Amino acid sequence: MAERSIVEAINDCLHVELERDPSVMVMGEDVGRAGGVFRATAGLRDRFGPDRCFDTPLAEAGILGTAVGLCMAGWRPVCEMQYDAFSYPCLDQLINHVGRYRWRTGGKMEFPIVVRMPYGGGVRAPELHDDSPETYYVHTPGVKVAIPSTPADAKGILAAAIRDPDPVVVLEPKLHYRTSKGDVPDGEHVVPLGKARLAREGDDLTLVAYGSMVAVCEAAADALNDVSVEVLDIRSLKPLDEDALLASTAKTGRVVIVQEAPRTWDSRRSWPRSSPKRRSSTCAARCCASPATTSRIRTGRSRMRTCPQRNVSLRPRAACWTSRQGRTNELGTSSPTFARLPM
Amino acid sequence: MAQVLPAERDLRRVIGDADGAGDRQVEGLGEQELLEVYRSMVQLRTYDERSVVYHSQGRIGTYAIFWNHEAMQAGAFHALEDQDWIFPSYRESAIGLLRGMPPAIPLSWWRGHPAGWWNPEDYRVASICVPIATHVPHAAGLAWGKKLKGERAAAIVFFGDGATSEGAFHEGANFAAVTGAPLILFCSNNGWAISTPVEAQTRAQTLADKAVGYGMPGLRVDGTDVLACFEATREAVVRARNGEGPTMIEAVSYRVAPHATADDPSAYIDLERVEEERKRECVGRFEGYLRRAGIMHDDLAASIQAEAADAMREGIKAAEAEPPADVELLFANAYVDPPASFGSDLDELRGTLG
Repeated sequence: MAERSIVEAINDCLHVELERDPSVMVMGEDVGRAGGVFRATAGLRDRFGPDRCFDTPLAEAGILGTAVGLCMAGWRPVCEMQYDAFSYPCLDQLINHVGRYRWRTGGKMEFPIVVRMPYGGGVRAPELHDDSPETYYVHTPGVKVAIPSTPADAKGILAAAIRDPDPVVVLEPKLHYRTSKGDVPDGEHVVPLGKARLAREGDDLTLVAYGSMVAVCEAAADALNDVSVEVLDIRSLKPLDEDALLASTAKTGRVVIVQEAPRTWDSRRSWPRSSPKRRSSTCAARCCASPATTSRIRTGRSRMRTCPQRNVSLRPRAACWTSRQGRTNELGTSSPTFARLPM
Repeated sequence: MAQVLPAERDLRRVIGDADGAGDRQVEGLGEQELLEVYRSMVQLRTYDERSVVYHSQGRIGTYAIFWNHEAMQAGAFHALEDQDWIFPSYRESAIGLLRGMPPAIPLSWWRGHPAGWWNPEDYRVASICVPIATHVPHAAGLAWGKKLKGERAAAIVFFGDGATSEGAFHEGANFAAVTGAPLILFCSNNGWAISTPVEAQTRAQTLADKAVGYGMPGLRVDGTDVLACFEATREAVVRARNGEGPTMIEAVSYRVAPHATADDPSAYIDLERVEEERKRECVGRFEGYLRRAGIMHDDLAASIQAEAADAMREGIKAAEAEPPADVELLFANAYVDPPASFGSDLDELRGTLG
């Protein structure tokens, strides 16, 4: 066990997994000689050679398209996209081939590709360095999506993604790459995909988040002195830990989903519907959190209740809260704060 | 670093004219090998002609015709070894037949039936690629990956003239060159991308010129001369096996059939030119070559054609005997390890469908 930042934990994971499995290779722009623009791949080229930590031409679609062929030749490519928004050229390959190729072989071939990228805002970078594109990936059939929030999970989830037989997109919270530190197990460490983490136990309200927004939720929970807040770090968007969502919903009866992605067709809408048999547990919570500058939280109180009819709509009632005072986060930017919950 | 050759200006040819003037022999191709090449061309020709009939009978869906592409496909194929991988576009949908794939499989594919899927490893033939040029990086990755593992396999990727305008072609060709991948980029330039002529795709004088920019040789051959296609591909394969990296081949022909069964080219194509080109179509040209060499005679040609026709009759029968696909297919095989919600989604779908 050692204290590491998220980016150090990712680097540690890649060292362990390349050592463990000689078919794992890392490829991407500047991953070799430079060790990655965030240094996530530092040292790999020296240790494993330029073939297993390969500096590619600047061509994101080429990286992912080539990875498809590498899988067919028996490799397990771990592709780095330098920034979230720079991954969009590879959507063609991801949607048309990475997510479908196994299907079109009638399940005969496996495509154990990992696409990892820094995502999210709040780092005061220019346009297109601060996107939250998870909805595109979650919506793509054949692809799994995970987003860790802690150093230990950054290592364990990436390891699980590398070992997974299916393509996995791993989004890494770049805002917390270096500022979030924590104990990370040495050696092999795997956190199964599809298992949420109970970041904090509480009784009155559940805040559900992933990636960068987990820290925001924990800060909110700290601010709410009189309210017992449960924070659920969902960690994996597909597969989704519905059991954990439902258990916490049943316990607190109130859920706020916090994310920094665009609201249209987002997790806030899809999660309560993700399992037809479980729609009855839909909770009337709405929220939107914008990236680390200002935040609007709207929610409605509702009791946990059973809605046997599929089309029952539980609309949010009650208050709309707005951020009232600024706080300073680790990077010195304004972070969301939360008004007191009217219980 | 491989020497960069300027793309050849003149089309390479092996087969001469109808009088036999200019017929050359290709080293390493004896009578048996030549007959195998002919058998492959007839297999493909028969598949293509029968498919157009099956389409008109409503037995398969929209079909991409490859009439007069047989020389490019069979010529290139016979330059490969068994372990080499083939990445087809939809224009090469039946190339797996040359590796022993039953015709029922590609026929099922054109029927939109899952029996049209195969395990690429069984035939070293990748799945048919529908979106243009997006399989070029796949082929580059496979060839590079095989090379990294120290295996002997090379790869060939087929694409059309229009594909050279796609970013995926560029990225795949560049990756192959940078990694020294043992890859043959085989461009079947039939002059048309549906209705867009090649002159509207590029200002490059030839498509093979593009190879120069990637630091790889570009060869130009007569795409209706099966032996020229064979010879050029074999040169590229030798380079690939020697660790000299990829080669681009531009095989030039003229499209003498509609792009697909849904297309009516009379609105845009030069029909007189089509008639001229049909007179020198590739299977007949090669058959003439074999007859002049004394290898082919009427009985032999008839028996090869009958064999191919029988295979197609069996193929369509087998394809039509496939039971309808189950709705489970919407979920099955998308993942090795599917999300748990798939189970309830399938239950709900079954419930809805009754």
